[in-house]
Amino acid sequence: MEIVENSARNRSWAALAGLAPLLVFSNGLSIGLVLGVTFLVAHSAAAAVALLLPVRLGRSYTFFFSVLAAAVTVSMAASVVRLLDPFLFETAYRSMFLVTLTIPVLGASVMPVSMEEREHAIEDLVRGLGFALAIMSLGAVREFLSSGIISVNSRAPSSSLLPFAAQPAGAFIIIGLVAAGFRAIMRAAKRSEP
Amino acid sequence: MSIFGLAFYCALAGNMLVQWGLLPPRKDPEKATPAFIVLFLVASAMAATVDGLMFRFVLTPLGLESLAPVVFVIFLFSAYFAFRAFLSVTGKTDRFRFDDRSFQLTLVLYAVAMMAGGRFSSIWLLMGGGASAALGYLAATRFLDDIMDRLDLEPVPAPFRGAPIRFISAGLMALAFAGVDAGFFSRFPG
Amino acid sequence: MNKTKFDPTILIVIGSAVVMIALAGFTSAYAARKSSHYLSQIVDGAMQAPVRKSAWTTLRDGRILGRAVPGKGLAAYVVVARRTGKEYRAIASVDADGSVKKVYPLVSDSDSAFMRRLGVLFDRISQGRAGTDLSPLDSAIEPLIVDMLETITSLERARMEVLDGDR
Repeated sequence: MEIVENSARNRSWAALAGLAPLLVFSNGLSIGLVLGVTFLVAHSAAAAVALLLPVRLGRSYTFFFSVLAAAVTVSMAASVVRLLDPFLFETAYRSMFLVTLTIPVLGASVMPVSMEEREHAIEDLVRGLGFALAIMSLGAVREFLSSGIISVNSRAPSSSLLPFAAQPAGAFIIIGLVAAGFRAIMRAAKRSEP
Repeated sequence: MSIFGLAFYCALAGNMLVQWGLLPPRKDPEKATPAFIVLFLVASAMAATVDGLMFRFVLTPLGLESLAPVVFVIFLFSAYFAFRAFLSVTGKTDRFRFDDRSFQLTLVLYAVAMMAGGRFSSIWLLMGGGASAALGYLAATRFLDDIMDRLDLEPVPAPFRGAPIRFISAGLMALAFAGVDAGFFSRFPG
Repeated sequence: MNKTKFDPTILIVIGSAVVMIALAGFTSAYAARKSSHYLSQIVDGAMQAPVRKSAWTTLRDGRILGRAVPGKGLAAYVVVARRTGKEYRAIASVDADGSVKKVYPLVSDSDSAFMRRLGVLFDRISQGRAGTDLSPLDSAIEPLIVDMLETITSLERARMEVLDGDR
């Protein structure tokens, strides 16, 4: 087996693409919250198990148990959502289950080899929190763009503003525009540095 | 739904890349070989059948739907460890890599299994749905790579180069596929 | 003699995994039971017949979420149609041959023209009524409704056949 090292920048963009399924499914605040929290617990569980299991267990088995831990936490999160709102569970269960095998969660399940990688494990957890916030905020933004309001109660009265934002195509284009805007700001900030 | 309708639906209107957001992290430098495509379609058909039947006829009646990802992970890794054991017996090396491409294919397998499992209940439709969805995904990936190759020749503004233009291209593809859905495929049930 | 010492780590890890999976299984079964109770109450409440005390079965067949069958009276099916984040939910009570007798709308996202029209057409087509108002959306929505009605009929007939077989 071979570990492919990526540069930090490439990894960030790859992680954004890896999050794309969740970003596409997150078309409202309530589903964004559900997916964001599920992602956070699954990512943290996978990263923690990969870090805590002894190295002598081997890379493959550590990977398996870490992904299994993520699956179990996703399962429990789905059960909690079902207890809170059975209709929300029916809407979201497929996208919730998908969290288990998203690229960032699988990436977090790989056992850190070197001391340096182990020291960066905390950064991975923080990155997971950032991804979760991105999923939630995109849900809120898309709901606002598509219905003109943001509400945890998805049945709140609203008026149609830009329905396209709730569709997968809208998600892709919004992510692309936000990423380009972010890059333009970073470039401008770099240029203004003395 | 006829098998032809199913194949067209999974390749176009219900395409996994655009409808489920399964965007490959970056362009794959290696072109998919025919052997890889066949292996991927077979794996997708099997995953869809096992996951679909398990979810509908075992987990749902017992109220254990939430355990579906656990069951799939155990099934997936059992298949992987069995495959690895087979390779070691035949003296070949394990080519699985802990990289984004392998992770993406694993994700696509699960998404295909869930998509087919959620729509169909017969074994043939599950297998056909799984294989067609995987084929549609591979075709859409190739289309997107070709679009990106073409865009490399255009003066794309600097902030849009790379990931942003990839997302926007995928969005425009999704829009076109949604049009196909509205125009032709809304008559298909499911 | 070279003795290899047994490493219990793997057994501890497997044991922990089994315990966690069992816990997740219990949670899932409990959530499913609570969900069934909630959904049967929703159906009984909407049909204004709390004495029905329906038993809920999750089906997830196309747009049919499940079925609530009372001890005595008509069975009811819960229909959930979704499109780009918008949802239409309704209860359809059926007679013994699977024909829809009455539709009880639960939720419809009124800001979506598609869902508004779906609600109007589901009520109208299931009752076999004709309407004078037409919409360009009708040709796209009607096949979905026909599919939902056919699914309900086939599910109810299959249930009745099983019941007849048991008698």
